[in-house]
Amino acid sequence: MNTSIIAYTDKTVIRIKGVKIKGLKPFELENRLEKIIGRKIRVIGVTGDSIEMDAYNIEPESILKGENGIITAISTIEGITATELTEIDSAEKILEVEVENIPKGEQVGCGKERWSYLVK
Amino acid sequence: MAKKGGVILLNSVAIIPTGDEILNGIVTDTNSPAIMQLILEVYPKCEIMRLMPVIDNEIEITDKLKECLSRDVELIIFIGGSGGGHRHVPTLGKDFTHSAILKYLTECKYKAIYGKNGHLWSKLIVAKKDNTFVINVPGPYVEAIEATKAFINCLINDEKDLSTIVENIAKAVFSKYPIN
Repeated sequence: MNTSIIAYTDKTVIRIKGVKIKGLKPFELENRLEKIIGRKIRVIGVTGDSIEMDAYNIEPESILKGENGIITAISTIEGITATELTEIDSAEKILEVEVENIPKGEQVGCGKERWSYLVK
Repeated sequence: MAKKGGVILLNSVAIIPTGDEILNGIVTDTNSPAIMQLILEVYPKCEIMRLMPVIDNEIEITDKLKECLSRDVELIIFIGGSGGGHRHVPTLGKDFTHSAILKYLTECKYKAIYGKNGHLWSKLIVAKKDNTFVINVPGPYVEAIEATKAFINCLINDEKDLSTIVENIAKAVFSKYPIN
């Protein structure tokens, strides 16, 4: 049977821009930031000039407050070159949706995977 | 898959990383060698191919799946593309691995992990086509490794039920999220 499960955890989505990236090993970045922030980090998106990460159980304000330390830390990671334009572009906490909107049934081929759009 | 002493033997595996950022070297693929190591620790005779990364395109992924199935390997592992983030955040990588597998194969089971924000974090699939298992694992290293370990444990325990296998994989991945 195909089933779903909900991960009840807070996270803040962080986007860093103004970096040059080539040959990044994401787990090295995750490990470094986890030591600095003290929370679990997951790299979820990388382009040639930006990084997006999930930081679990931490408020956006704390991330923004520690921006300089975060930028300094990531600039030492192999595969990342910081520039004078490097900054935290955004840090936003995810918003919770109603549990009643949990998806039911098959969703294969459905492009709208946000709960609120799914057939109940 | 052959058996020896009641234990399933794994003789051939294809590992397929997905993602434009992997293909163009922006991100170094550390998952494939780590997964290869996990397999070789248990199945030292296994032949493992790490294929050229596939871009985030459903047709390309499906074509690669067909190609591997035609080679008759016993296990195909897709890495990455298991979520649904790109539908909400345009800068995120496209997640088409799960949809490609589910569209092409009929004997498959999945378990979807959603965040409380309603986004699909990971849709984990175990599929079977003749003698070939097909699985996908998430892109983040930690979850990719846990998912692979869970699948190998299922093989070791001679687990054949796809629902049970995918349940174990999802449980392993889920355990890596810091749940409130």
